[in-house]
Amino acid sequence: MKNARSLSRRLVALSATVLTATMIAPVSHTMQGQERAVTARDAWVREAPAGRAVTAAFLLLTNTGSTARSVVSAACDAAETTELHEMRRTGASMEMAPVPAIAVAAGQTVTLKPGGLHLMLFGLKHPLTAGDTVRLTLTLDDGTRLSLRAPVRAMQGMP
Amino acid sequence: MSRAKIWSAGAAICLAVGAWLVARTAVPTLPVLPIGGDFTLTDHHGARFDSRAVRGKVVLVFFGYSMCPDVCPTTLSKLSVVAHRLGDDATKVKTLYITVDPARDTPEVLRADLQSFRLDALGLTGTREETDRVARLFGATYTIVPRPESAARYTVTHTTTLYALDAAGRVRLTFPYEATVDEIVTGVTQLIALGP
Repeated sequence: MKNARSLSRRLVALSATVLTATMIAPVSHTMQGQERAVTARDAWVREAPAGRAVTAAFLLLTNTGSTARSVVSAACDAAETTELHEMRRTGASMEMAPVPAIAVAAGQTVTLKPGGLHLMLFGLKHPLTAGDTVRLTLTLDDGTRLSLRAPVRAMQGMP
Repeated sequence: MSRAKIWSAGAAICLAVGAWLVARTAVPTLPVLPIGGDFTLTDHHGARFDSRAVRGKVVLVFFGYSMCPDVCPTTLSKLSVVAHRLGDDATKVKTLYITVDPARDTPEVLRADLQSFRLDALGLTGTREETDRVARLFGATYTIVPRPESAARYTVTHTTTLYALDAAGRVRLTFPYEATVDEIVTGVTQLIALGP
């Protein structure tokens, strides 16, 4: 009898939790949709003379929202394939590795820069010269797409 | 000549020699590092390269590969700025960019890599055995990492140290990847001052 009462109490508690969750979830989802919290800016691409099939793109990602977001894929109109990569220092060595996503915590800015996170552009369709621009498209984990233009910069004198 | 005069002349010579010795040892000495050695590879024009051919110059050596979008362009770019800062002395310096990915880095690929820079540099490749031997000489290591999930297929984790050789081909200084232009200019200037 005691057990049955405690079970029914638990059931009530559980259904209350589920109800609350289903009521809140759609609201927060809509808010996320309206926020467009993540923005990308200051993008640039390293020049790639004829004969060079790969290059890298760099930019700033800012999340002004209250929910952590991440970039899960990227594309560039000048490349066959675009991947998310990261350079890592291990002792006297540098390692380049693909990463599944680039997280942008709520209220944070993440910098994609030489020596760290970057977009790798494979299979360039044509040489990229300083002054050219390419279009980058980033897809976030909530399905949002960010599109921006990135100027090509000369390598000489770069950091 | 009086005995006194001979004594004072002797004392003056001793003082001069002593002062010269002190001055000489006061110049910071750069140890000869127990790495490096002569090697032959193929340059970015497709010609055979013998490291003895650059004797008389300060030589900057680093390892890299062209698939890497970062370390190699950054190093080449930094060395271009170093060359600019050295002015006329830049003609006394040669940069050697040795690939750790000879399977992909043919002379043509290395040529494309170097053409963006105003730098007296040679891109060097060879057979895997040849580049392995040179990496071993310098104590540089690299690991080929398969990346089936990436269009790169594989990446190469490699030592990013910059080695500075004197005009006699001996390694005298090493710089980490993070070394600044100022630090490299200072080191290279010291090596140039050592003379041929």
